[in-house]
Amino acid sequence: MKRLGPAFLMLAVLVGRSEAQDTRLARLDSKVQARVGALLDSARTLGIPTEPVVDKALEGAAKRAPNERIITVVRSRFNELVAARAALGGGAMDPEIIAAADALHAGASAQVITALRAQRPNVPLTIPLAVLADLIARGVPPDTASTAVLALAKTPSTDAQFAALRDEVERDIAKGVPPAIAPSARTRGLPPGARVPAAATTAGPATGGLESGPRKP
Amino acid sequence: MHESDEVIERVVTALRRDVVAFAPDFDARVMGLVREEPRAVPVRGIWSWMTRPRTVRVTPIGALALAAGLAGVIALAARNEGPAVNGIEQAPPGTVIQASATQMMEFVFVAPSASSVAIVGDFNDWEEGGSPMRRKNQPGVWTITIPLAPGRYHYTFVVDGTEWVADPLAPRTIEDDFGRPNSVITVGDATT
Repeated sequence: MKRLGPAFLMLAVLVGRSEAQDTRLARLDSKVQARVGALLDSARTLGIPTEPVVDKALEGAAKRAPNERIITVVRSRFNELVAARAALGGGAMDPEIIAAADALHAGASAQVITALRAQRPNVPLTIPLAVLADLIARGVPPDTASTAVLALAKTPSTDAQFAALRDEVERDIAKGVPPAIAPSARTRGLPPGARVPAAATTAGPATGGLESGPRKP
Repeated sequence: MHESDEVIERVVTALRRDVVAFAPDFDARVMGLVREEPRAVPVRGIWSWMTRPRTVRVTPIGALALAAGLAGVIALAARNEGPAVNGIEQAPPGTVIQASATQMMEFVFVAPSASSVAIVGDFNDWEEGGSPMRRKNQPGVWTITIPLAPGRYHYTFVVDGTEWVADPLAPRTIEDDFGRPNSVITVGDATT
């Protein structure tokens, strides 16, 4: 036993180090590393995904942002993830939490995310939440975008239909339709369970772009 | 006769003279004693050794180290259970998003005058230099195909190693956190 004690102690130290340290963080300044490490510990404790926090820190380092800016942005990202998880409730998957955090970051309210979960308790919300964030990013007011997404969520819509809604709204905006009314033009008079956007039958898994953006080869 | 032969002869004579006589019941007594010994059954012996109570002396630091070591082993096992693919944790059982839903996504960027174009983002840890894109047959068209699990990723293009350019054909993030805008790609699940 006397021989095993130091061995277990060494094992514990090694495991603890591997849990606490992410080799990718070596790219960060030591002060930033410590702050990010503390946030990662909190994220693990709270059960929220740690990768978006790491990603944001690495993005800041890659873009040569000042240390204080990196810390501020990473903390903000962490807070959004915490709020996203709270809005989605227990059992939320990591991709959903990340998409919800993006929606919050874009300007959507936590209440909308909670309402979306209530409408679709057993269906992944990654794409609907991503569409919500994308619509707001395209200039659609958060309330208008939320109304459109919630309206479509009331129907048994697929992810492809949500993606199609976004693509159609983006197309309308590109044609000159004001962002504030583009979604309502697409969702007006939506009978429950009946509306299928025109592009839904051809739309595959959602992508971030239009015809020549990122796509499946 | 050699001298060694004489020595041997003397030894043989002495041995013949001092013959040890065993008692007639010698064999029976020996076998009786053997039968009285408990039978050696290896499994029962090990079980007996394992179940026999005994006192183990452990120092407080030793006990702590043992507990921490066991906790570490459990933590390591737990880390290996849920593989993460570019930050997208494997979904719990019973959900439709699975690791097998990873899809090949092609990124296209048009930069006729560029000598090199790379893509950096959440999916390659914003690695310095990123993932280099290749020229397609058409002049100025750069492409790369990246496997992505369902999820939402931020990315941007780096032209000639210095110029950061958001994808003009993809939605940008609403806020520019670090002074250089990102694009966003959301990969859905083909089953939903």
